[in-house]
Amino acid sequence: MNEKVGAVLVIGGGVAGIQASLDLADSGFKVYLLDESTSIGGTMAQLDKTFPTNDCSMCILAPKLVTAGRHPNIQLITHSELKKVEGETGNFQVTILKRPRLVNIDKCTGCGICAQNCPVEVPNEFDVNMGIRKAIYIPFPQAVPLKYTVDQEHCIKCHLCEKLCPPKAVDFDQQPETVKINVGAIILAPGFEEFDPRLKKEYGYGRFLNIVSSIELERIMNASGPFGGKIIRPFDGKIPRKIAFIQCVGSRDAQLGNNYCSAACCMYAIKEAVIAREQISTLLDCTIFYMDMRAYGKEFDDYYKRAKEEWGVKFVRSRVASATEDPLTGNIFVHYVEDEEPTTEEFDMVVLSVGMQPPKNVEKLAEILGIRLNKYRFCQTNVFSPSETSKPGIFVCGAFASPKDIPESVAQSSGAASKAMGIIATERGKLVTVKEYPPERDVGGEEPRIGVFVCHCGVNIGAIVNVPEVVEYAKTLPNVVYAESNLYTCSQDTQKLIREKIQQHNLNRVVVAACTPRTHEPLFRETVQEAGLNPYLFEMANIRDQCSWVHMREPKKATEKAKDLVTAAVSKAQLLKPLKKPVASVIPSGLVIGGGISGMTAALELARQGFEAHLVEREGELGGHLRHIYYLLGPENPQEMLKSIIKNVYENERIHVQLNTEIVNVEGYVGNFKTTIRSNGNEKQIEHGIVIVATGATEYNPTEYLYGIDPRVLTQRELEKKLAKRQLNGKTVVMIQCVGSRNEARPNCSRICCSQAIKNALKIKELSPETEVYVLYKDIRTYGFKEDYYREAASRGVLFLLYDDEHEPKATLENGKLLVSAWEPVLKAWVPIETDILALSVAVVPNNDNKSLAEMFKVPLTKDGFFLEAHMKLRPLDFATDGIFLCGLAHWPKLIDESISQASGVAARAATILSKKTLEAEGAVAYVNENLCIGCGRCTDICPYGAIEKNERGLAKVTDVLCKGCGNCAVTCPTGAITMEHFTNRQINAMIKAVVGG
Amino acid sequence: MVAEPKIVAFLCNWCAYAGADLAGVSRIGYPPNIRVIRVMCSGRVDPVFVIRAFEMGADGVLVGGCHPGTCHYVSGNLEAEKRMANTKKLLKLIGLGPERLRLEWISASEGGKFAQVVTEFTEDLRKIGPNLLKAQVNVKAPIPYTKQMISDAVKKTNVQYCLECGKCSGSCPISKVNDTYSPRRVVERSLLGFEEKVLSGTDIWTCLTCFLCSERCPSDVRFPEFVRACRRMAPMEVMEELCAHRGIPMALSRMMINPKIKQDRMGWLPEGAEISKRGDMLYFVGCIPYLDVVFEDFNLELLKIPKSVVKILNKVGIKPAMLSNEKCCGHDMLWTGDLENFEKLAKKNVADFKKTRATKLVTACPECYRTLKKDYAEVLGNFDFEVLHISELLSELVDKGELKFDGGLSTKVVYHDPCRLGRHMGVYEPPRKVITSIPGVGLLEMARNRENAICCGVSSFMSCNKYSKEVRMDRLREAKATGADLLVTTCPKCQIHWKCLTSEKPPISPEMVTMEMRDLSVLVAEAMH
Repeated sequence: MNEKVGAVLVIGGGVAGIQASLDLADSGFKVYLLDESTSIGGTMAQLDKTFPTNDCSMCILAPKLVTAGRHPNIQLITHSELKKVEGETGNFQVTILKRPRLVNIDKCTGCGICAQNCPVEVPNEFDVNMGIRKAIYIPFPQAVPLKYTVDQEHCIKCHLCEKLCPPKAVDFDQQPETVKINVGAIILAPGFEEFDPRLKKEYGYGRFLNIVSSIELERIMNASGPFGGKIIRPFDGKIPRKIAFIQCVGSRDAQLGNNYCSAACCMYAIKEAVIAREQISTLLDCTIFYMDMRAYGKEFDDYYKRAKEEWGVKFVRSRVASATEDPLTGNIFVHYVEDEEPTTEEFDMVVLSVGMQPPKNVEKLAEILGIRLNKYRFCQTNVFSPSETSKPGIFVCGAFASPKDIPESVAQSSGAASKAMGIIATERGKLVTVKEYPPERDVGGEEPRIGVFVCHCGVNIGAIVNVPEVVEYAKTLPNVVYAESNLYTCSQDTQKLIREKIQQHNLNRVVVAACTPRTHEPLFRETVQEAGLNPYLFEMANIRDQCSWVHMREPKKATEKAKDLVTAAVSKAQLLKPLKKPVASVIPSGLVIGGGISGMTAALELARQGFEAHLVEREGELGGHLRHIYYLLGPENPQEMLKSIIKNVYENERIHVQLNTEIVNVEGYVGNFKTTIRSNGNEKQIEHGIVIVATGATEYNPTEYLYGIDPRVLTQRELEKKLAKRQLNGKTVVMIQCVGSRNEARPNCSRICCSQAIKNALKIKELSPETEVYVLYKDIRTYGFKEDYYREAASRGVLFLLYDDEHEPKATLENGKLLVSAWEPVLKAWVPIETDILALSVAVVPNNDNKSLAEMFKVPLTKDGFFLEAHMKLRPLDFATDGIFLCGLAHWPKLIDESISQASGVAARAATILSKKTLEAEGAVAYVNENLCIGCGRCTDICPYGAIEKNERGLAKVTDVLCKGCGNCAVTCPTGAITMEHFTNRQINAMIKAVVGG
Repeated sequence: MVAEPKIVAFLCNWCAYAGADLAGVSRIGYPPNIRVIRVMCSGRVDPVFVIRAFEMGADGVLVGGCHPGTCHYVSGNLEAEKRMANTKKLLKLIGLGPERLRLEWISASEGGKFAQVVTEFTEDLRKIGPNLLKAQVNVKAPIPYTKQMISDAVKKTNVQYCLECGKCSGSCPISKVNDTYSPRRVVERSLLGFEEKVLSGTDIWTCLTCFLCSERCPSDVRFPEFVRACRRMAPMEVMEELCAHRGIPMALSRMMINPKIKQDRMGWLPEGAEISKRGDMLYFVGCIPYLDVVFEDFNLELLKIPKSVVKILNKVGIKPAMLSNEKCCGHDMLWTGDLENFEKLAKKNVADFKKTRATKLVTACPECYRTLKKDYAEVLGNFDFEVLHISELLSELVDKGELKFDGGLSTKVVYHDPCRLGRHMGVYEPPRKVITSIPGVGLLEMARNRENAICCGVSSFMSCNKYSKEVRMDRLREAKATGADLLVTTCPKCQIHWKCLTSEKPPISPEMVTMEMRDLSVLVAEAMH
């Protein structure tokens, strides 16, 4: 019998793989993160901005790359291939082939001298071959690991890089290496490949230069892309004034065998149009040609609406027939039909919204792992276990499970991590490295003794800034007792040297003048800590990225600037204080609020991982909305699943269920919550470490379309109940979509209703094929693989009629007949339909008591009344307040598998806290001098993390574990009672004086 | 040869600083005039950093943050936006010009944008010209005290006559709420040789200098003046830590000492106002235009005060001389121990007064009033101007029957005696005479009025803490309890401090009361309408 292994292999270093790795590594498991390319980052690293926040993609991704790269429990295996997988769940033996970079990554410092001098230029794949790179390269500047690789295919073996490399890292003799690792579970996150638009010959991609794919447009728009962020068209470099976006290229295409919907292209096309207009100017005309606008996600319809109304993006509901070129101008003629009139419109540039395909060599991957693929060659999963593959112990997340956008990928990857954790829960903490440091020296009362280390960084700094002069200058500064220069201050041997000098000269503050603290501060803080000093007694001066590299033609001025920056760093160092990272104890249990499928799944996942879960439910039984769901689009049986999940919940010793229970009061903070609950009049207190909000949502109670007036008008749910009992009395059924959604009061989409309507339509056709079914819709949003059911419904004769805001259907009663007047856009006429049943696809609306719950937990709501997460893109399951998580309908309307993914996900997020005995937070936090506080409350009002509150005496107090160190409170305090450690007013004033040259 | 401009930049760690790094990684060159200070969030950038940078001679300040909606700390950048807009107004007033401060949103991928912004800004600053305030760094230098200096201060303020009777500590409003503070104890320590403790401690900064103790002291010990002398010898760090609003008002006052300064502070003057460069009577406005910006969110409409004064003066036929480059009277500097800078300001102001040929100075601020009337003469040796508080001027006009009201107002008013007008200078009746002369206005009195009035709780932006807040709240409750509709006073600082109370954020303490306030001049101008 094989023992379980407390490690996990994550295949794919895109955003999903990285999230899963971080969740696992932060919960006490070792992670091997495998990627074929030379850096982690995946497709997200290539994007310019992300919807719906228009965040810069690299800005939000890069910190995650750095964290993953530095994490002691994550081992990156890049530029490598999966070869073999043997064993079974709990204990897999994996063989990996590490392809040679021809560069020794232990020696390479990422200085870039090799690439600067390499004579070979090659198309840059990262820029989709629009820019160039050298034969020795890094794929993008923020690559992790930041190590160079030789492209053996194009290298001409001139060995110039080898000759020039200062640490002698280039090694042409490097061989491929086979490694064998043991892991307990495997998570697949290999992402996707863009559809090759050359396969749609009618669009002319590859023949006409001004037709680009969406990923190419991302690189064109990106400030770090081949054109520096200037949007120009490939034909002549001119700035386009008119761009057409063609949707569904390679998706929803039965001809190609890709009937599925790629789920993200509608939104990314809108985003690209909006950003393009932002960059070029409002003179840019953007038109999006689409079939259905699938803006089903959180606040996506808002974004769509703004794009239309505020940002002037045009939308034409028409699938483009073909595109041709004017060979003289390079302009593209787009041929389509509008209002039954074939039209041709001329554009400067056309962007093809290409769909997602399974990753390259997916069959080989599936074979090695022994997993089943679905008919589209994506990973086979099922609704009630959306991250499980067909092989136990191997999980999947991200686009490979089904095409999806970034927030869905991130949530699902946490879900996969939780599943993996559940298998090896007993091995938690066994394979992780815990670093030991020598005891910290108490420097209290000592005069500052500062050591300054000035880096040459090879020639990067030294060739421009006169480093010896800076060193001599540093020696003249007050409290500097030692100064020297290094060739590479970040190299391993210099770390040793710094530690020696600290001992030798009894230094109690260290300043390094080199590159940027954003990448290297953690490294030097560790070095300083290894020498027995508090890590906050360290400061950096950026004399490379913000000095030598940008003032290459003015070496004298660069040297003067370097001196000023060193003076500033030294001035701050004089005032640095040792800081303790605040520590909170952790109660290893969670409170799950809500006993629906989300709450139950979260509780079960927590229990599987070894934590206690208190599951509180307002009603008298568990199950939530799932109690009213009798069948799904697919073959799964929801009522059976429900019974089985409820049984599992009750049988689990670690789960404590409280029915008929309300939350009365909450106190405390992450790791230490105290919640008062009331069941049947009795109050009780629960102590727990985290909170999971899984309170669900409510069905909108319609007043439209004669609901409540005529018994033939039903909601879809009521119809489903009847259909489940095989009670269908009618020859005609009309369904109206978007009742209560996508209107003035509630502008957003309720996401589930299109699938729900088609599910019922198919059921009707199953029970009674002759019954006529009409679905009146605005957009059919059966995204992902659900598109197959839309096609199926159409094949069974369900009729779909499109309506818009100006032509909303009308329901009337005439002589006892129920009449629905539907607009037919092609015939341009009102079609009266006498119907036996009118089913309304009503909205999913937030619960009435979201507001009071939000106030109790001090978490925010969106303008629509759902809960608001910390970051819509990269932290969909977390609240900004630490220790509180969100899943299911309470977050936003969603389908069962999505709720389950999120619910598993929150358990993984919670595990990063519950798995620790104590939580360490950032040491640079704010604190309040009570003598100066006047209790005005301005700071409590401004803190987004709820980290500062009034105590019993009405004075402000910082909960240091929650403080993120932004410093806003310090500025807002009228009396100056708040000090922002490590960025104090005195320190900053001293730096100002130093640089202005007082 | 024109010196190259120097730019101080505050860049947020997550976006702007990263963008600057990317410019480096991409080897995009830009002029070397910029010096970057890293902060975690653009919301950390305190307006005082910007002001200090300019005070020390920076030519331009750049603040870089994340694009709205993408702030790493949710909304810090939006706070930065509000604050920098506010700071620009201050820069316009002080004559530096708002173009010297730039707030830019730079994301981590916008290396090119960063370089472009720096290049453009440097070029713009070359055209705008250097910061003429470069030249003098006026921050107070520490003065090493000697026993002789203490002894001189003790003698000068009669401290040696103290009989330890305790009347001061029993009267002091701060002592009542803060049992660690007692004027008597400060005196004892000074007499018994514990000067070090006194000078480096917080007690000398806790005193409100309201003169209640010295008003009642049977031995005529002038305690607040002793405190003032001690402050001159106290270490700067204590003062910096205790001063409210991080020293912004003081920094602005210091900048006015610079001979090259050319303020733009008359924008509040309404159309049709009659003023002149020369005249027999000079209206000294004080720092209200700056305070109006610093306390923008209080919605105090402070500028109504000078507008009302000019309106009243014009209506009674006076065309006052006014200084377009008026300097701070220096009250706060004097009372926080910065005698050197105070003298410089005083000399400059007097030189400016002389140019206008004025013989009379009138002001609506009790602090300016006391400083001009009393302290200028004392410190400069001679001072040939007659100084009037607006209430004195108006009271004279009431006596002469020259103050006409159309109609009046129907309201009950309670009058608060500001320390600097009341106990410091003995002006109690003139404001009352003016109020009662307005038809329809009933005057109510608080029990503690005239010599017994209680201070609003803050002086020279020092001593703002929970104790002085209690004193302040208590006074407001006292005013409200009289049943008056309006609290009228003649000091803009008192009004600022009470308004601060009512602008607290929830949860607001249940003992808080709110009361409508009005400055005397504004009341009179309203009634004259």
